[in-house]
Amino acid sequence: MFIQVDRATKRYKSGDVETIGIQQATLELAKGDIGVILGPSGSGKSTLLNMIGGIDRVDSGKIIINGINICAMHEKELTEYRRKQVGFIFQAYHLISHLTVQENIEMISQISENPLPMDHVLSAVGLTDKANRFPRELSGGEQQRVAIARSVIKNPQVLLCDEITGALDYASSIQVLEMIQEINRTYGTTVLLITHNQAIAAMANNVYQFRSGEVTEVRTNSQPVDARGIVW
Amino acid sequence: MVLNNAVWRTIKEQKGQYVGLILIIILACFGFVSFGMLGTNLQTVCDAYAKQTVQEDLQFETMQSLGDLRAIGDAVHATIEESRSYDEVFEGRTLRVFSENHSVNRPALLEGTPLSDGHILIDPQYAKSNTLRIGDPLTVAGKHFEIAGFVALADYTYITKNASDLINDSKSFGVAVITRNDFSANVQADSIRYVVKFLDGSKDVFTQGALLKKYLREHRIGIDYANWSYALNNARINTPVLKTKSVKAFSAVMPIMLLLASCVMIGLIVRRLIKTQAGQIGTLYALGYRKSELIRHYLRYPLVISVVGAVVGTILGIWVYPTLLIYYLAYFPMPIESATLVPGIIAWGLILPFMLLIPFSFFVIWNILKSSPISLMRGEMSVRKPSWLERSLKLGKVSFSLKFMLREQLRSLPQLFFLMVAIAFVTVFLNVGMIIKHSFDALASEGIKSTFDYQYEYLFKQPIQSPVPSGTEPLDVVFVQSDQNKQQQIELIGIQERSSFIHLLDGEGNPLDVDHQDAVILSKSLVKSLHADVGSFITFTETNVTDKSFTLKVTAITTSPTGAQVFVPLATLNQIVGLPFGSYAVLISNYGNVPVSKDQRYTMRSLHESSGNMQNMLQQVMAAVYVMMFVSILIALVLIYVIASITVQENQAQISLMKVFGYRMHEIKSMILNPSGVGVVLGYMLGIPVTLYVTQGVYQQIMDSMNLTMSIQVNGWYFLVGFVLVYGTFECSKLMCISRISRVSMSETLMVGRE
Ligand SMILES: Nc1ncnc2c1ncn2[C@@H]1O[C@H](COP(=O)(O)OP(=O)(O)O)[C@@H](O)[C@H]1O
Ligand SMILES: [Mg+2]
Repeated sequence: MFIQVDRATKRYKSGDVETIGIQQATLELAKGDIGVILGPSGSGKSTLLNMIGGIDRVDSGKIIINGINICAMHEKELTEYRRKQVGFIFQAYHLISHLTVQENIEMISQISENPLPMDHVLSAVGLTDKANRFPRELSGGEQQRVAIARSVIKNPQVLLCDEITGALDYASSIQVLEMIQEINRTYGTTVLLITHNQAIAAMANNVYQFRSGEVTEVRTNSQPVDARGIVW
Repeated sequence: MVLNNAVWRTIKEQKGQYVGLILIIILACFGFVSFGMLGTNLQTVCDAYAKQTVQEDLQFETMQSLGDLRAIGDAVHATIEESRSYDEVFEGRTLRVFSENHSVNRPALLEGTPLSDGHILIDPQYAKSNTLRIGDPLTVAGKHFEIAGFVALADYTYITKNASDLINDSKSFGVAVITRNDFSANVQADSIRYVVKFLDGSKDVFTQGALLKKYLREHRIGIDYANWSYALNNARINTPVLKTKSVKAFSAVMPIMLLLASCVMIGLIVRRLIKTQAGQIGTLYALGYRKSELIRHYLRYPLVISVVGAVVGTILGIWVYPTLLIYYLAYFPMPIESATLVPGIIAWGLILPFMLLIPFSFFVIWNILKSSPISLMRGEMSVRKPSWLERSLKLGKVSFSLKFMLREQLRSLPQLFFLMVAIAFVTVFLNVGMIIKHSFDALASEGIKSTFDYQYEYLFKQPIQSPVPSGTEPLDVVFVQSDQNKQQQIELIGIQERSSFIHLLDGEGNPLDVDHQDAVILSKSLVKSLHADVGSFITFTETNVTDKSFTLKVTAITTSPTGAQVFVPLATLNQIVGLPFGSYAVLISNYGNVPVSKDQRYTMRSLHESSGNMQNMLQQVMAAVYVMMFVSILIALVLIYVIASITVQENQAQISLMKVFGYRMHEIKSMILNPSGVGVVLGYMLGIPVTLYVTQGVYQQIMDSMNLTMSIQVNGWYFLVGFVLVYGTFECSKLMCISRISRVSMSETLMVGRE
């Protein structure tokens, strides 16, 4: 298995109040597969994704990526892990407003060992002619495509997508999902995608149902559909 | 209002910025109060001293006694008194002992008991340098005296051996006073001067002086007076007055500059703060808060800073100024009752920060809060539109880090601009002292020495015609004034043709000589003050003896570091003033034992001494230069740190994102903080020409006061060292910001878009 999460638990303390992020969550995903995490708001989906992405640490349990337990890593090793293996895409795009589209992407390519060619990536997300625009001058869908290009240019092993269609209209959403699928097919990138839109689950190999910090159900699709064919 | 509880919390969170800012304000108020009160107190002390001692307006010497001083005084509305002195020389030290004066330049007792027969009062600097205490014995002209106390003499406030000396050396020269009885009974005076206090307040001293001179000449009293010297031009008397003026100027200029810098900084900080809290503000607006309430809230920040800075700075100033006063008065001994507080200065010290910071902050806050609540809430200000400059900047192939750096700068032009200006100022303060010191060194070690290339001067009381001993050269000096500038005393010097001791150079460095009888070489400093040039005719009037006028045509200008001097052949000078051929009044030589016939009265002056004094003074100056450099670096550190830490705050989201994407700490650090380096480097470069300009001005002032001309000598190394210091400061401030960067958490990124 490429991604193995074994009874991972994370609690947040603020003052006397303790909230459960995830509780004994267990999950597995094979290399090159797409996994979709479904679940209500506050059920711990993002928490889990952040643990897998190495931006937060579990209290207990194990997270093994490509055979290596990232929970045992030092801060510096975690940085290297994020730098070399992980691509992140967020609902809120998080582009840097005073850098152009191309510069936003370059910001990642310049720290990658084997970045994909810039032209290639730009045209893959259909933004070749907008490379010199600033984020403010783009639509939401376009901005999310910049974020995709940015996370993909380093050719990551794992692509983590947190509600990336949450703020987009239907057409833009489908476009974005198609791109994710395309990346998965072309580069064999393992994709873990959070959504609370049931329909999107159709494109996954594995679907994980989350409830109160736990994976309550795992389904396997033998025949994932093309993103283009998803309707809601 | 709820927000107000947040003031202290915010200040604590960003304590580096606020502490830095408060430090600058403390420095400003401290400077204002301490130097302001120092200036005012010095002024008071000088005024009181002049009054108490009946300080002279004028002094002069004559060949013959003036006779009835009272009659002359009555005729010209003045008090005139004789001032007799005797130089007691032993072991290379000179103690100039005066006979006690009663009506002009009365000695002022600083410590000990009043003067009585058998006792002597000495100046405290000499006493200290030579470890003499009250009660110690002291021998003058073979007679034993007991030191009864310390004294200040009104015509020796700045105690120098020769009137033209720039620097005092209390180890080798001091003044003292004994009673008239003791003086006439034991001592043969070797100098008799007349000291004059004018009484007619309606005329200036120069006018009254001219009247006195006219009276003396008309009545043929005295004849041949020399060294006619007004107190206003007498360095021994006016040095403390001039110092007082510069202290006062400094106390106003430096703090205001610092406060202006604080204004800009608080502006940047508050702007940043409001932007960070824009969402909150929008909500408060929506809940019905008024703009004035919000403005009042944000004004609390400059208010808190000003209160702390003003109070601490003012208290420090009040605490330190007596020490400064004592330090100054050690150089210019004058009696002082006690240091007095000046309420006006304290009040201004307390108010000034508010007067500048509050209106400025008000303007900044008011300007930001103009936005509508909705746009504030949407945080539109934090996702600002790229300016046309940013948009039109097309960066094709350059490296990403360069692009990033440029974008960062364009995004925060006001910060860049402020940093540049601030660093330029720091550069000036950092380098001015060094350059002036270096120029002085050059002047002392090469300039003056190579121009006046001899060791000893033999100054005769009267022009003589004896044969010139071998190994010496004759010259003569008369004092003249020009119609162009009546206040300036000019030396007309007759020198020997092809002099081997005096080497004058023209602007190109070629030697000049008085090689024909009409040769007239003007010193560069006179070119400006007399508006003269090669070929001009200048009318001079001989001021000491004859009041004769004559016109000379300038044949050359010398740029050698000479005073206000005009050089002509000795023979020509003798002819002009009507002295017999072959007359001279000075011999210059490298020998200290030139055979001069016994009946010629003369004094010998060694130029060695004065260059030793120069070294002494340079050491004192260096201490001041180092303090100034230290303070500049401190200010630079605070300024750069505040800017850097605002930059970190402004880029929090970006830093967080960079961490998520796997940027290493040192990469983040250099990408976020290095762009400020542009401002530092540009500022320093901008500062170099400004420094040269300012330094030239300051140096010119000093040179003018010494009647010298010489431009500054710049050594590139100083600028390099200065740059290393400033850049080191920048690196330091970066180090100070690292912890702030590492504290930015990755969840910062993830928070947005949650819920
Ligand atoms: N940094 C945090 N500090 C405190 N509580 C947190 C933090 N992150 C998440 N939580 C809490 O953990 C739970 C799971 O949150 P999250 O993983 O974001 O859910 P989801 O992404 O499924 O909506 C929630 O109750 C949330 O409030
Ligand atoms: Mg979430």
